[in-house]
Amino acid sequence: MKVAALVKQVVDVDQIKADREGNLQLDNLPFKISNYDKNAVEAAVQLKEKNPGTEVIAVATGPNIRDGVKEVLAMGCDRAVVLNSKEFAGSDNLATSRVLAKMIQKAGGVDLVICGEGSLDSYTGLMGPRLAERLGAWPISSFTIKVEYANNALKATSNLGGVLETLEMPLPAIVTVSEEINQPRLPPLIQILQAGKKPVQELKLADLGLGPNDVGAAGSGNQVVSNRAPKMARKNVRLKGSPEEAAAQLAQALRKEGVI
Amino acid sequence: MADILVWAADTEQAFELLAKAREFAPQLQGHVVALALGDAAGRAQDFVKHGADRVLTAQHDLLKGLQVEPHTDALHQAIQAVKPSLVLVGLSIRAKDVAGRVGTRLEVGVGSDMFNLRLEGGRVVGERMYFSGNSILTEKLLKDPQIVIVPPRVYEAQAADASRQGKVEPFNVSLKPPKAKVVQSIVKKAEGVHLEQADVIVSVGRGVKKKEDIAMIDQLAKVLDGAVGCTRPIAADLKWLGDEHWIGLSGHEVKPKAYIGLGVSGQIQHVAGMRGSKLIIAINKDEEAPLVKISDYAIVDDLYKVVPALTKEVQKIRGG
Repeated sequence: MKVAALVKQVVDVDQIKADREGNLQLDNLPFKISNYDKNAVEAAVQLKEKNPGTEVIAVATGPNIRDGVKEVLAMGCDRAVVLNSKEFAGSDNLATSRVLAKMIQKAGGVDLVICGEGSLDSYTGLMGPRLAERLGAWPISSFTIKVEYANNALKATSNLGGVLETLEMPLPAIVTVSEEINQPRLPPLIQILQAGKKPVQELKLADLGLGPNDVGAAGSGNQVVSNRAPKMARKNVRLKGSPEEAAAQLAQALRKEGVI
Repeated sequence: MADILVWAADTEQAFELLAKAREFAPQLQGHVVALALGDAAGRAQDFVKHGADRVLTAQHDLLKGLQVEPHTDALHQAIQAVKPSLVLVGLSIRAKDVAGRVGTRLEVGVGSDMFNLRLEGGRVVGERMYFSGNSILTEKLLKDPQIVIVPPRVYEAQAADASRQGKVEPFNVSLKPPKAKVVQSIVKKAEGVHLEQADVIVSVGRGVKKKEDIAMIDQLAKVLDGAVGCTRPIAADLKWLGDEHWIGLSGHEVKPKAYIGLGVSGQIQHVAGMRGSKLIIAINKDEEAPLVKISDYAIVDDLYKVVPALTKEVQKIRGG
């Protein structure tokens, strides 16, 4: 079995600050691997451990992905296919799915794609279903919390809010995973050192048969109008004093607001 | 003529979207068409009463429950028949897969989890959370059909109007058996908590140190006549509370009169589920917590001291 784990490098969202007007200050922020993608890599590597002969390929994008992909290679991916494209920036999920589908095909003979339920920055949750369609109407299990492979079929369980549903799917298939599925491993030093020697295939848009109009703003279905700090019309009253004093003020406020 | 097609697996959600579609219909100079698949087909008249001009109904063995592949085919075929400018889809995990697949077949953008929808020159502009809740992204959909996924309870359904007239038409769908087969479906035990109906929600976050401490929070919820909610880690990782308490993208979306977050930091998944609360109250030691920044009232202090004091104060007011 060949498993592609999708990996996206994103800005470290915890370090985003905004100025007083709500403009985001995004310059010089560090990048990291989107957290759900590490769950995807972990799920892929666990399948490999249980099913000898399985190959795990990281299919990865990001501004500094050549370097960033080493982390998931250290976690146990056998090799990586990465995108090197300036034009790719600003792609929405429609355009991104075009690129990722071609990268997965370039990776060769992939029968299972695993990705995160969403990405840490955009979190649309649409990449899984988009790829399922592009790769040729593959079956999908989204927001998966458990996955097993036996007898050429996958069993994948998702928490649909009050209902635990298990799907059985033949390969090829796609699975998006939730954080609950596993605890991504922290690779030991020796694996981190060896990761640098694993094969990394760097692809340009032309290698994928795509042009500048397929990606970025030109290839997107949605246009970004703005991206600003949340402006919530809230009262923002800080209740001060001892815990007892603050609690008394809060109780009075709740009374005035008609809550009690 | 630019019609609006509405589909949600949950009929209540469909009614909410019909209300928004009615608001948009005059601007788009089109009709509101509801797609009633599976069991919903039996309630076609309810869709008319809640705002549909036309209802397309389709019943089929494969449209029982929400299987992604047959529903993808059904929605795709309905879009081909109606040729709408706008498609409103009610958010659920499976419905998102359906919308994503259909949007890819049609090579169009999809608006995900959008709120504050408006029309600008026939194009939909909507907002959604970005950067894990650190920003709001405003997007415009460029291509028809504009497919927009809307979370539950963003819009309010109109009251049913029995005098409304609409056409109910059976719609022929051509479906094939899905590759993904449902082999098990376990309904998790709920303790009779109905977060959506609660006027007050007291919510447990990671600032609460151990499971036993939830008793103290139950007490506060009780004096407030409220319900206890929680964040994803409390339900999914620690399992201190059942999923019926879980507020957020994968849990319940709530809009209480007052939401009180106890040691809740305010991550995107959680805030997405409670941002519509009328009052947001944060009690947290960390003044940098995002929830503190989006609150109406905040107490930056130890919740273990504030909660018992608040319980007492509320009792005083209620008793007097």
